[in-house]
Amino acid sequence: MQHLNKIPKSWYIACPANHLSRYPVKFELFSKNMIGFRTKDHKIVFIDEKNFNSTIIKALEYKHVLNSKIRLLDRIFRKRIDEQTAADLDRLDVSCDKKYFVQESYGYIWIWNDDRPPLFAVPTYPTKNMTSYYSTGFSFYDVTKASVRRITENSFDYAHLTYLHGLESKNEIQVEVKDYSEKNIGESLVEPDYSFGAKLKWTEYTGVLGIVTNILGLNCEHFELDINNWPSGQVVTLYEDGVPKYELLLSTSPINQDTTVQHIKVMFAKTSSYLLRDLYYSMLSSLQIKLTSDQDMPIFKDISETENPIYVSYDDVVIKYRNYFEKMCEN
Amino acid sequence: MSEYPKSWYVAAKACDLKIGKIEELSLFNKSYIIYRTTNDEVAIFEKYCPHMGAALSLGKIIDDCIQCPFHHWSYDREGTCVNIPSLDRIPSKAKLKKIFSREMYGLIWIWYGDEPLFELPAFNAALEFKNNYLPLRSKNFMQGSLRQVLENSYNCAQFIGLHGIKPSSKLTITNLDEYRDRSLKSCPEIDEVARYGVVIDCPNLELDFVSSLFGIKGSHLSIVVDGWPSGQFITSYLDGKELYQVMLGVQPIDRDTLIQHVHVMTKKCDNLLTDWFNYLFYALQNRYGTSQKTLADQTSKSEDMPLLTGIDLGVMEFSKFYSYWTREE
Repeated sequence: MQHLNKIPKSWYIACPANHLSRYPVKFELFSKNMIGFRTKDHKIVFIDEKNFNSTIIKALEYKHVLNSKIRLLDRIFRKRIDEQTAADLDRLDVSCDKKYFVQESYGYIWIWNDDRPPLFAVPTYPTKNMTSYYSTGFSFYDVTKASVRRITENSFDYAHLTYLHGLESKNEIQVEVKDYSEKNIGESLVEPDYSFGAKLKWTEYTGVLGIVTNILGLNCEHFELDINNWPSGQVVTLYEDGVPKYELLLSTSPINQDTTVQHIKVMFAKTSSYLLRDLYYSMLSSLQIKLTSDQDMPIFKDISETENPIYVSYDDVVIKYRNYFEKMCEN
Repeated sequence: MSEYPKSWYVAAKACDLKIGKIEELSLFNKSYIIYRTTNDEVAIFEKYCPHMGAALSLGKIIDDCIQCPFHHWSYDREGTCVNIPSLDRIPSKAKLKKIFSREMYGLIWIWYGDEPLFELPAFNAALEFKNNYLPLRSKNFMQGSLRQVLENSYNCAQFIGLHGIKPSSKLTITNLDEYRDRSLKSCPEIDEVARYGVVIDCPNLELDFVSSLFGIKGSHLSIVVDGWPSGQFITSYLDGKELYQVMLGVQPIDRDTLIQHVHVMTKKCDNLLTDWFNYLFYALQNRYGTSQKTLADQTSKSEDMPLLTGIDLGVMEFSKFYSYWTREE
């Protein structure tokens, strides 16, 4: 698969923030080997391995971020670096002029995939749609073989909600592509030129999903997914009968030509004065989100980038998204 | 030039396919899916859906059609898209590339290329004349290019060097324009356009100790190789009497790995005991001979600049024949 030939300049997730300590960690990202660490001032530094001091490289035993077992052990037996190496690393931070632009936000380390300064800031999350929310959310990641484009376009591929995820509703899903240049300008999470968005609306769940959600008390009359996308990720807000329920942050780590990590983080809105009610809702919704993601995973773990895909009428938003993505790759 | 000659290749063993169960295959460096329909027909396609690229191996077989797991597009056994849920009109381009297949000799064969240019060769010893033979099947994993493996049978010198055949006089190889023995009813049949044959004669043969032990007697060994661009029939005669026929079919996994399917039919005589004695002997001989070849294929390196001599007539002619079938139209 050659999907990494094209990824737009954007903010990608290097790793969850708690995976990075003073002790340098080796990463593979954008098909490059790089090393990340924190300085004594807790500043985050990411440098290509080739620019890293070879004597320090030899002195360190790297951990790969994707290996969760090693990471767990690493957290338990976190290594300390000697003073000399620490001083070398701090000096490297000052002396090396080929560092990546990085930022720590929302529990992740974000990295900009270009030498030049970022074209836009790390998107805001949760958005202003969530006026009140619980500070603890839940997050997970999955390693896939899909491209950044495929992972991010999935939300706009509304037909798959019906056929893969079994979404049955009273009426067909209605889709509206957002025009950030006019009335929705305030909704874009980054500069409008780098944004793409859509609203998916459907009514009450029916069929098996309707029965299950009715029993669990999760069905309602109107559902709306408000998707605000930047070139490498998106925030999806779910409204139930006009009330925001949760916001899902989806972003990507393009590791190499065959691997992209999908990161998901969800924050739940405070919708009632009863904590238990919100807790019940958030538990069931978390389960639903994880199950939905798990349904996508077999597809994402074995997918081919079709050269000349055959489109049908319900691929209209995907086509628009692909045009947007292509344009972002040209920036 | 195409990497593989246009021809018939082995895709799978027929017994591995169950009705309605999707199997994945690696062939020609690509991924395929294969399944058996309720009519006992075989359907084989490239693995990914032309719509959004999902793996069809994750799909389901419904009414003999394969349904993509992603958007539930269904394709019939010809590869034509027959259903896209919630759409009335199916785009004419919505189809999977049809791959021609045949089920014969307990194997699934597929044609590499657009449409078959010749029929699947007939191994008559395993068809209408099978009662005159004792069958034996085996398969060998091999490292090496397809050409290297195929040209082995035309390599006269290897019979002396590798397999240890000891002729007292010179071993000869002759091109066969016609089948050697038209009187042999069980003679294998290959479409004339796709056939390259040789006969290797070993006069004044000195049989080794093991052959003598098995009571094999004779002095003139003839080996007839009837090949098509991706396989061969080998018929062996001792003093003009047919000993056995072998079909070699090839399953190319990738550029350097392939599976050779060997189907040996040992000729019966009137004596049951002798039949089983011969069966055991030729089975062992074929097994041992193939393992020697496998070893040689695994250790041989470049095929670009071979040093050929007169005895390599078969290899030289086969090389031209092979190149002809790999040409692009």
